[in-house]
Order: sequence, then structure tokens, then C-alpha cells
Amino acid sequence: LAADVEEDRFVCGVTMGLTALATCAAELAIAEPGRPPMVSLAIATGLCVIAGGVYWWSRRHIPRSATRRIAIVGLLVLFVVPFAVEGVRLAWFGRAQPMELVLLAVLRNLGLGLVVWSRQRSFARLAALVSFFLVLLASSAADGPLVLPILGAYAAAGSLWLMLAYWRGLHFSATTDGARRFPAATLSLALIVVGGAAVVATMGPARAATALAGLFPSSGGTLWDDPDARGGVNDGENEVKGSEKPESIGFTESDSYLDSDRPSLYDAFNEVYGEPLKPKSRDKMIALSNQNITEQKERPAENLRAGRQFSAVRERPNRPARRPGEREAKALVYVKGPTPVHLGLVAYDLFDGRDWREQPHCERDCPLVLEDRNGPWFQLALPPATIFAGSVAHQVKVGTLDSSPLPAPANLLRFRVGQVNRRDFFGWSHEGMIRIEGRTIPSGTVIETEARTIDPRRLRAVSFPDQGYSLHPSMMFTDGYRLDPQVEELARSWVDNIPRGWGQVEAVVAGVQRHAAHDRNGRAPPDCDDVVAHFLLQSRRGPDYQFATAAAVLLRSLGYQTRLVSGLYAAPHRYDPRTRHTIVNRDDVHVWAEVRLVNGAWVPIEPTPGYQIMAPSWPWWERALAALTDAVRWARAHALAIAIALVAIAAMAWQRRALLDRLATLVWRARLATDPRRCAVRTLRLVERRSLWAGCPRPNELTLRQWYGPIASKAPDLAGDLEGLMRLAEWSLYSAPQAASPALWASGDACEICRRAVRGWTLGRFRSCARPAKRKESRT
Amino acid sequence: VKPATRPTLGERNGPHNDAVHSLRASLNAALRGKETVVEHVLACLLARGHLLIEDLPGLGKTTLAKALARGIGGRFARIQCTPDLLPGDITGFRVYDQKTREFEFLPGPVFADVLLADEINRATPRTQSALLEAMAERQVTIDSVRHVLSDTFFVIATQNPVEQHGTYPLPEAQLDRFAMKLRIGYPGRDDERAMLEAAVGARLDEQPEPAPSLSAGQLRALQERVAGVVVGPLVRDYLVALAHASRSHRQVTLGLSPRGLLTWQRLTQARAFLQGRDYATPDDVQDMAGPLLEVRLGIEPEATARVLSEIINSVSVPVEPNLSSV
Repeated sequence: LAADVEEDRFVCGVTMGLTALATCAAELAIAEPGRPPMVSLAIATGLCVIAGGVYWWSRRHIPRSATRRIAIVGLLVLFVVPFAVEGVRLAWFGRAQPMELVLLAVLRNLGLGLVVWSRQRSFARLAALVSFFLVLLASSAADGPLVLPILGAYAAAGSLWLMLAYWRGLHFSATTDGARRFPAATLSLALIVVGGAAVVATMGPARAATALAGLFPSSGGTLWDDPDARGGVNDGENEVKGSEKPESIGFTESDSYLDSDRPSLYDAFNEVYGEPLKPKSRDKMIALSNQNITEQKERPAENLRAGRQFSAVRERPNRPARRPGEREAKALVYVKGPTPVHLGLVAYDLFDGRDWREQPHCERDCPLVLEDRNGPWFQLALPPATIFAGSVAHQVKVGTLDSSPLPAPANLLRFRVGQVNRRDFFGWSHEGMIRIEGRTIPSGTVIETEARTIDPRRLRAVSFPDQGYSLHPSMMFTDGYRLDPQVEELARSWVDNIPRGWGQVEAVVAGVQRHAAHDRNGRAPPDCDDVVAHFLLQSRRGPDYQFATAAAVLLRSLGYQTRLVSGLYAAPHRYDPRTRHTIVNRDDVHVWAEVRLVNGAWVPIEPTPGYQIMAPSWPWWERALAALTDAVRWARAHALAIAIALVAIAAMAWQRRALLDRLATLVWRARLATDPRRCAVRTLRLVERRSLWAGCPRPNELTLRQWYGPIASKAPDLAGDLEGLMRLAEWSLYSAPQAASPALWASGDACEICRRAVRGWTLGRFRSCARPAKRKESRT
Repeated sequence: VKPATRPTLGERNGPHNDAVHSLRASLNAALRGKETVVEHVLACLLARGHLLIEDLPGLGKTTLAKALARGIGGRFARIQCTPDLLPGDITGFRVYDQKTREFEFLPGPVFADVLLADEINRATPRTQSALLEAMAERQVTIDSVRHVLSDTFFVIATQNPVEQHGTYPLPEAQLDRFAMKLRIGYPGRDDERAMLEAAVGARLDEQPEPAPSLSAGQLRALQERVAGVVVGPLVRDYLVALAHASRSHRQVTLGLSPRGLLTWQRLTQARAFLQGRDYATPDDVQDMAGPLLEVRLGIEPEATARVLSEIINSVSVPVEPNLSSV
């Protein structure tokens, strides 16, 4: 970089164009699915305008000598920003973008940052290289009709850039002045040929377009499917845009659904009135004798011409529309939305020490209100409660799961199942759980839910009146089951000194988690009559249902209403960045417990180690306020320490150069060698650092004498020290090696010169003497 | 701190050093207020290079050349180059001696120790080539007989930058034979005042020649001593980097040749020697860059200073040695 030269302005402009195109492609790739491409282009334009503004400003206000330092710092900051944003996003929303998108953002930032300094050739060349990689990566990740035009424009601009960069790099001798002109005519001709081909391919006759298109390979095609296919025919990726609109996957919004033989929501009529009769076509054949078969080993050529009739009255040829190939679901469900989330399916209340009994179906009428907002949504008319934070939205696409209850999070607020808009399709499965009446949910159905999240801080304020062994099924054990006294004692010991309320629930959950280890293969013995006692007192290890059972039973013993829930757990680590969904497999079947509040709401608790309850969702202002409050509280609690730290940091920042100088001087003292050459070089290094910290670093192109000579002359009393050091340093650096040229200085003399220079030419001395030092204007 | 353990270079040089001082003093006396020019001329002389002075008439080119010839104690010759000057007028020619009935060789001015070729760009290219061959090879071949020139043969050529009419500009390949190109420039006011003062009452008749500063063979010894000045690896790398920078600069039509780089190193050594050091530093390299590159790079005169500055600014001065090798 030190030997950098000015980049040609024209090349610089084309480099900016390349970076702008690459930024557009990157923005299209980074965009969330569903964002209009124009928004991405607007963002890209904004970024390019900012970069252009900084370029314009820096060209006028930043001297060439300072460019390198500022550019490197700026690039480092731009490099770090996407990672920092991801960190904040992760902390704020609980999920981050896929790594490749973050890297795209990093590359985009680097490209824009380099372009800002593209007046220097190395930065400009690097910017072009980065834009090349950026456009390659972005075009492989982005979708939509704009990607190809951008790619084409980039190819054209890139060709122009290559030509210009090559042209400007040529050296012409004085005799070929005429050839210095840029071959604009040739270039225009080439552009006309290529552009004409493009125009013919897009707008010309079909045959020409087909011929030209045949030159370009495509991927994807009939009867085969490539996950990376960008285009193609029939069952390629483009047919099923699962990553963008989950509700469009499969048949739910497809006309061909009615022809499918799978059970669906829409074939209710078929079930009522029976399926339409489809006449079966039969090929009538006669059997040949064995003799004929052995004689004719090859299939005879068919004669379709002679001796046959051709009717001139025919139907219009009706080619069957090709349907997309079927793609089998690989998971139970696919979840889109914040994770972790518990999707309850079945609830159990009665427990006899060994078996849980399913909670009876809720016979009450399901209070659903149909509201039409972007589809038929059903709102559950639930009483407002104070324990809730904001709500979260999920989309659950049913894969291989065969179930009638909707896999939905607890405390459901509203939901939508495809285009089903009839209330009588739904009913209560258990308290707080919805099911489809009389059938299971067909594969491919997308359930959209909006559920309220629970604020644990508000839960702590909720009162839990001790109802003893009430008659509510969620409090009951079947006759004959008595909780082991030791288990009861254990529960009491965990909640000792904790007032009744959510604190006790949390203590029991934490106690169970502490007390036992999670073991998927742990089993109670077949003859065990008290699973909880065995789990807590003997084995102390087991699968999730034993944890949930233990927590539910212990909480019941303390007078809380609980139930066991089985369902699915969408784990954050199952997030698939490609489809942007969380996959829920058979391994994610999970059992947990729920605690009932007085107002009838069920609050999930997670006793199994390694599983987590969904974090509460807050509106951004509440989160900001909470963060601010927490910060203020923390700051008030540590006011003194913070004040001391701030003062110390401010002092260190104020005196940072002096501190660095002290440190460097200490290191120099410790490493002061006896060899005069080493001694001189290390001292010179220290002096150079001091001059840097004093705000007057020696420009790279100036020699020691040219820079330090004028500085030394500012302090006549100490000039000899610095000049002596310069002489010594020059001798050390530039004279023959030790063997060829014995030292002019004895080691004691050399060290003394160095010491005097370091003692006399302190940081303060440099500051006072060096600031007005002017660069030597002309040297030759 | 005085480097007490070993004598300085000046002390070690002894009589050589005195001779250089004396020569410098005599040149400075002849050309007032032009110490830098004198230093460059001395460096060029010690580096065994030839000098091209481009300046207006009357600025002391001939005075300088004569003073130099006097100082080194050699023969001085002057050629006023004109379009009708023939190669033989420079190199010498054979004439038929009617008494001895044999051809006799009459040596030309190139057999002097210091040759002043005034307005060299007025000579035809053929004549220029003859002189330039003598400069490069330090020998001339006449009628298949090789004649070796003086060991300390030194050419000072001049050209007038203003009058270009009827001139034959030296091509780049021939300019490369010169070690450096200098401009003397007008003297300062004080120097002109002193010059006028000294001229009042000066004797009109021919003054006696002062004693030369260098004894016979001493210049050759000094030149050998200069060739032995150390150019360390850092300085060597610096020279190479500068040469490459000169070749990659956009406005330079002809980058520095390897011969030019060798000359640069020799000039750097000479400058270090004149400064009393037995090792060269980047200061020496930079000091010699201007006169050396100006004659070679074929830059427009008005852009010369800027291009030279850009070339030098584009290369960092080496100050970080590999400590393990120190």
C-alpha cells in the first residue's frame, strides 16, 4: 500500500458500478422472503449513495498519507458490524440469520468500504475482486426475476472494467502516441454484437431465442431434481417455492388437490356424497400361444400407416397439464417462528402412580370468533390475564404427523388452518387445546397460530390459593395411590422458606432438574407401582416423561393444579437455514407439565434438563425500556465502581500515549542489548514510536535525517543526542555486517548514546518540537 | 560522542580527504554559491561518470569544466559542437607525413582528461555517436587501431535548453551514457555581488595556473576507494525498489535501465564518500536520484520535479533491519 498509485478515474467509476451491482444482488439475497425486490434495490441504492458520499468527502478532506490508516480501521469496523448486528439480533429476537447471509453482508460491507478508498489502485482492484465474489455468492443465494438482469449487467460492466484496467496498465513508448486513444469504436462494436444477441434472444423470433438459449446450460428438468437448481423444466425447485410461502407447499391451495386421493379438508363433500366415478380404461388382449412367444424374441415394428384409417374429424389435442412431482415430507411438522416452542397435542390429568389418563375432551362449546384478516382466522375469546407478555406468531406445516389436535403453542390467541372458515370444524380437544372435529389434519396443511407468551416476572405476582386435595381432576390421584412420604418430604424441602406462589413452582422444577439426570433410555422396572418414587429416590435418571411426571406430581402434593402434556418440541438447533424452517422429527416428541392458574390458563413448565420454555415476546419499546431499567438498576447498584472505572478509563484514554510510551520504554530498557547495532535499532524503533505518538510520524518516504534533522534543530541543547542516535542508527542499519566492518562505536558508547537520546527526547519533547515540523517540500 | 575507538573515514583517508577538500574548495571558488552543484560534480567525477549540464549560456559551464580540469591536474580539451563537426575532429585522425612517408596519428580532444563538449546537441548524430562511444568504452578505434583513453577520462557536455532550432536532441539510449544531468542556475544576489567585487581590478593578462589539487594517480585511487564503499542490503533493496517504481510510473516512457541502476549505486557510493562515510545511506540514494533520473527517464521538463517526487514517495525508506541478522 505504501507504493500505491492513483487509480484512473474512469476505472474507478466502473469499479463503483461493479460494487453497486454486486450490492444490489447481495441485498436481494439477504432480503427476508416476501420482501418486495424494489425495497432491496432501494436499500442497495441507499448504501451506494452513502459510499459515494464518503468517497467524495474523503477525496477532498483526507490527505493521501492518512488514507491507509483510516481505510484499514474503517474496513475493520465494517467487517465487524454484521457480526455485532447478528449478536444484537440474537439477543433481541432469540434467533439469528444464517451464517452465509451474515458473510454476504460482511462481503458487501467490505466491497463498499473498499470502494470509498478506490482512488488508490490497490483498494480499487480489491474492491473489484470483492464485488466479483459478492455477485457470485449473492446470485447463488438470491431468488427472483431481478437476479439475472443484474448478473448480466455485472458481466458487461466487468468486461469493460477488465478492458479498461488492462488498457490503463499499458506503457506506450513516445513514438506510438496515436495508439494511446482508447479503442472506443471496437468496444462499441463488441457491445453492439453482444447486446444485439441479447435483444434477439429476449425479443426476437422464437427460433433464434431457442437457439441462443440452448447455448446456456440450465439445471433441473423432467424426472430429476437438483436442490441447487436455479431454473429448469417441470419438477425443479422453482415449482415448489417452499422456502418462501409455506402455505403454498403441497396441495392446500392447488386445484389439483381435489384429484388427490389423500384425505383433505376439502373432500368433505366426497365423504358425504361419495367420490365421483372415474371410468377405468382397460386394454383388451388375447393370449398368444407359447410357440409364438419363443419365435418372436424381438418386438415387431408397428406399422401405423398402411391399412389404417385416419379421421379428419378430431377433437382438439388436449395435453394434460403437468403436475409438480410429489415431495414426501420427511418430518412430523415444520415450524416457522420463534423457537423453542412446545406444541401440545394430548393432555393427561389422572395419575395412579403408574399410568396417566388422558384428560377427557372438553365438552364446552369452543368460543371461536371468525375474523377475516388475510384469510379466515379464528380468535379464541379468552379472558384477558395479567400474566401475558406480547404474542408470537408461528406457522406449523404438518408433515407426516397424523393427529386431530392442532399442534399449537399454549395460550393460543388466534389461528388459521388453510382456507377453512367454518367454526364447526373445530372443537376443544382438552382445556386450551383445539382439535379438528372428526378427522385428522391432512399432510401439507399449514396451521398459522398466534399465541400469547407468559411473563415470568408477572407470574411471580399471581396468587396460588392452596386448594388441598380438591375434586378438580388436575389435583387428583386415583384411589389407592398415595404419594411416598419421602417424595413429599423432598418436595417440601425444595420449597422450604419460599412463599407460596410461582417461586415454589420454579423451585420444584429446578429441584427436579438438579436431582436427576436426563437419560433417554432410562426405564422404570415393569413391576414398578410408584414411578415417581422410583425415579426420585432410586434411579434418579430417566427420560423426559419421568421428569414431567415427577414435577407434576410433586407440585400436586404441594397443592398446585398440574397436568402432563405430550406433544412436539421445536428445538432451536433444528433450524434449517435453507428452508428457513425448524424441523420437528420423531426424536422431538416430548412430554412436559403445565400448571393451572386460578383463571384457568395453563402455563407450561419444563422440568427436563436441556429443554427450554419459549421466552416471552415483548414489543420493542418494552424491551428497550426493560433493558434501560435493568441498566439503570445495575448502574445504581455499582455506581462507585462504575465511576472509578470511568475515571480510570478516561484518564487512560487521555494519557494513552504516555502510558504506551512508558510501556514501550520499559520494554526497551529490558531488552537493551550490549551489541551496539541491536541497541541502536531498538532505540530507533522507540524514537519512531514516540514520534508517532506525538502526532508527527515520519512519513515513509523520508529518511531519518530528513525527518529528525529539523526536529533536532528545534532543541539545540538536545540536538546532539538525537543526531548522535541518528548517526549510530544509520551505521547500524546501512553499514556492512559485523564481520566486514568492525564497530565504529564501542558498545558502552553506543548504549550511552541510546540512553541519552531516550532520556532527552521524551514524548513531551517530541510534542513540543515535532508538531511544527514541516515535511521537506522538495528533495531533488 | 566522538567515535573514539576507531578513526573516522576522514582520518583514515588522510591525504585523499585533503585532496577532495582542496578540489571542492577550488571548484567552489570558481563557481560561487553552487555548493550542491559542486558536490554533484565531484560525485560524478568520483563515480567515473560523465556529466551533462543543461543550462543557459553564461552560467559558468565552461568555468566549471576548466576549474575541474585544473583541479585534477589533467589535460583539458574543449569542443564547440557544430553541425559540420566530424567524428575525426573529436577522436583524431591519421595524416600522411611526407618526411617519414608514414601515416601519423594525430590524437583528438578525447585524449584529454577533462573534455568539455559545448552544445553537444548541435553536433550531428554521427559525431555524437563517436563521442558517446568514447565515453562508454573509454577507448576509440581509428583505422582498426585501438587507442585507449585516459584512465580518468571525464566528459562534461552542455546543451542549451532554449534554442532547439537546428539541434539534434540526444536519443534516450545515448543519454544513458551520462551519469547525471545538472542545471547550474543563476547565482544568488550575494554571490553575484561578490563576483562583481572580485572582478574589479582583476588582471587582464593570463594568470598563472594554480597547482592541481590531486597528484598524479590520486584521482584513480579515489575512484577505486569510492567503488569500495559499502552498500548494505537495505540500501540495495531500496535502490531496486526505486528502479522498479521508475519503470512502473505512468508518465515515464523509459524506466531506469540496469546500467542506470549501476550508475546510481556508484553515485550513491561517491556521495557517501564525500560525506565521510564508508557506507551508503538512503539519503545518498535520494540525493543522487534527481540528477541521475532526469537524464534517463525522458520526462517532460515541466513534470520532472513532480514525477521524481512521486517515484521517491512511492517507496518507503528502509529502517527496519532483520534484527537476527544484525
